[in-house]
Amino acid sequence: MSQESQFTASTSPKHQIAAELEEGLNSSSLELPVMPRVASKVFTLTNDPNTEVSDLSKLIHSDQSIASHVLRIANSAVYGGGDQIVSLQQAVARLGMNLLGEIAIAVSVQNDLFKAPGFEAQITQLLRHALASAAYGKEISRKRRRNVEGQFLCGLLHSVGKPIAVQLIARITKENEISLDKKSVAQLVGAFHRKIAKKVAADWKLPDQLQATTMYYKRYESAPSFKDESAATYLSQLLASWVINPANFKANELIKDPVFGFLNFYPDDAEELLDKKDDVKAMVSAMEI
Amino acid sequence: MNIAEEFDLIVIGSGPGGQKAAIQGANAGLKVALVERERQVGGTCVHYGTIPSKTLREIALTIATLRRNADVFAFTLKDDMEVSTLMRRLDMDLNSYTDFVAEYVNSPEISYFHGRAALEDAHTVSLTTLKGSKSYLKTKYVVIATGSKPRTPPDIEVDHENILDSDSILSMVYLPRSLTVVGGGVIASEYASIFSLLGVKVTMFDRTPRPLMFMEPECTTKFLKDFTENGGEYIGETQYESIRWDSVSQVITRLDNGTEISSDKMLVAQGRIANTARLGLEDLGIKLGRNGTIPVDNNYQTSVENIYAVGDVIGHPSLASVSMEQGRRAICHALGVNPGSKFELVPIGIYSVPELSSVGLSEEAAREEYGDDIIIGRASFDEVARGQIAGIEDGLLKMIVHSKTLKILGVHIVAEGATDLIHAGEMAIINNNDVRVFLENVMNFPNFGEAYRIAALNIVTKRANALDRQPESRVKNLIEQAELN
Repeated sequence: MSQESQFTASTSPKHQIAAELEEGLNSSSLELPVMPRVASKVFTLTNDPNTEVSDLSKLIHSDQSIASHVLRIANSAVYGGGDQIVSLQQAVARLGMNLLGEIAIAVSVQNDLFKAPGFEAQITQLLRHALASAAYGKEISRKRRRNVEGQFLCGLLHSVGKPIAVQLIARITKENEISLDKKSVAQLVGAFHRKIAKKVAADWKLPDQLQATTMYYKRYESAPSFKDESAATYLSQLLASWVINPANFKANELIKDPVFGFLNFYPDDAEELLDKKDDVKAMVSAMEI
Repeated sequence: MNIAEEFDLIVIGSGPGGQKAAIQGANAGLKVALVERERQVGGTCVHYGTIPSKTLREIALTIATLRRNADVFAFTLKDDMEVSTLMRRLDMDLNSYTDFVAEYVNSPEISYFHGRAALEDAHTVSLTTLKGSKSYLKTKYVVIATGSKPRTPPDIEVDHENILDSDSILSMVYLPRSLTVVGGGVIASEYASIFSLLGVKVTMFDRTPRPLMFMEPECTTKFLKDFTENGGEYIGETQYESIRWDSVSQVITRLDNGTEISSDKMLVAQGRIANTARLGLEDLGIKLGRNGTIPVDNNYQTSVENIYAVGDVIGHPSLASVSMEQGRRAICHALGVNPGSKFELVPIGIYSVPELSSVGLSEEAAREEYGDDIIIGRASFDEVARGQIAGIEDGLLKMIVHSKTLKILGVHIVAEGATDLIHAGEMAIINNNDVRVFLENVMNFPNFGEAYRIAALNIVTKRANALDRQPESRVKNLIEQAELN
């Protein structure tokens, strides 16, 4: 039985929400709402004549919602100038910061702001984890001499289905006046986020690498393509979890994960990666909105 | 220390030198172990160096040819097709070559180990697996063929994202609009010319007045002309004062001549260092040379009798072709087999756009050795029928011979196909032929080999003229000598 189908067999509140989620997935286009504080930051930066372009660049790199919208819009018929935009760095270089600032404003104005009362802390944690995954993805790729920009995006957007799932659940519970405990919400998010990610990655025409890694990072060995990138994404989110919640892990156990071997990291390579923890933390602190 | 297995020969590293040594050993009936630290066999040559850069070069040339002929065949290239096609072909070629190499070394006589090797003593190699477990192998002989890696100057922060080295340059998934190349050597010139042909605005700078200083100046002049025509720029006799990423989209380079260069990406190509760390060589009394290289004698033997080293790890010339031969010769020496006459003539092939290739003495070296007793012949490719047909008219073949014996001393070529064409000259030098060999024998027509015939004609004509005019006045003689050389 698939994870989502286990919720659709009865009519408990949780199952009712699962059924609506399933229906919503099949019938509507999904959007990643913008966090209110991100929208606020966009307006602040773009209205301030003293804003450094590097601050705006940092903003675009730091938020799942803005990043994914920038990619979509940069690759749209209006802005797409030929080559597919496959990284945020490429978008910055090709489109220029003025245009990207306009895109960020458009995203913040036109898209729903995140409204999920009671879930703010969870969403903040998810986005922090995504940012830490992105930062660790860079370190992994640097060590392997693989594409750093692409792996950053894979880390940033690997869990893109989760905040969308939370937003959808919040909306359905509100519309149906249903109350759900946090555990049930977590179960629903766990059951649906990859399916959501798969749909949005295709709908938003994200680069092929992102479509593969968002779907297969946990099953990297069975990824039909981009196996290495999927494995690196898995490792980046694993190390991000360790950075954010170190109490949940033992470093000496962590480096026994088979993904290190899959990526040809020897024990001392793994140790060197773990030693990047403070750099990753610093990067997350610097970029977090 | 428990010995897991005993071998006659352990080869560390599966690049061209290591492969050849392992196969040579196996063919001679030795029990061979081949140790590779990477997941796939082939070494830098296959994964970061020779094969990927040459594949990229072929793709760039194909795209350039298609663009050039688009109007003839009434089609247009989609802009966004280029990069994806380019990268896909690169992956395909790498995979097929890796499979080929794996099959090649996968003989029953060679035991393949994936792990890191280190020398515990002259006859014991430790093997550390990915999981960290250690085992020990005993051996009579060791061949170290661990290759090299890019050298990074301490004041350049290579982040492999915006500032790349020759290992990470091909990790780019899109073509940057602009690229600054630090260096004027082989790797710098190859990538600079390839990316320039792909439409990237390339600026290359180095301390030397021209790139590829060790090549014949006439050839590098032609290389620079092509590079410039493709939109590239070379800034010579300069050094960087600072290189920094602007945290937005540009790498900013400030040169000591006041020039500031801004580019999307940077390639740092400042030489290579040998992969000798963690091998435990110092503990065996093997003193490492410059850039970590292993000193060897003419038989590729280190200061420890049963330990040999071949390929990039011993330094110059760091060519895949030479590494293979070194691997073969090391095994011959270990087994007391005559490897054949010593090869002193090593052709140099530079896979830039256009290719450059060279064998034997340069004009400068020939003058040092023979004074004015040399004659130089040249063939411009616009005189070569095949060059006109193929649209390769900008090439040059320069041949240097001894004026008395007409023995060929050196050949230098700049043109597409130069790295293939050079071997005719190489064989003529090895066989001690005089230049008339290219006039008195039949070559295919039309063919780029015609360049040899044209250069040879040029030489014999100059010589005949020189002989006719010998009795003339001293002044005329000087004029003639000027013409001659």
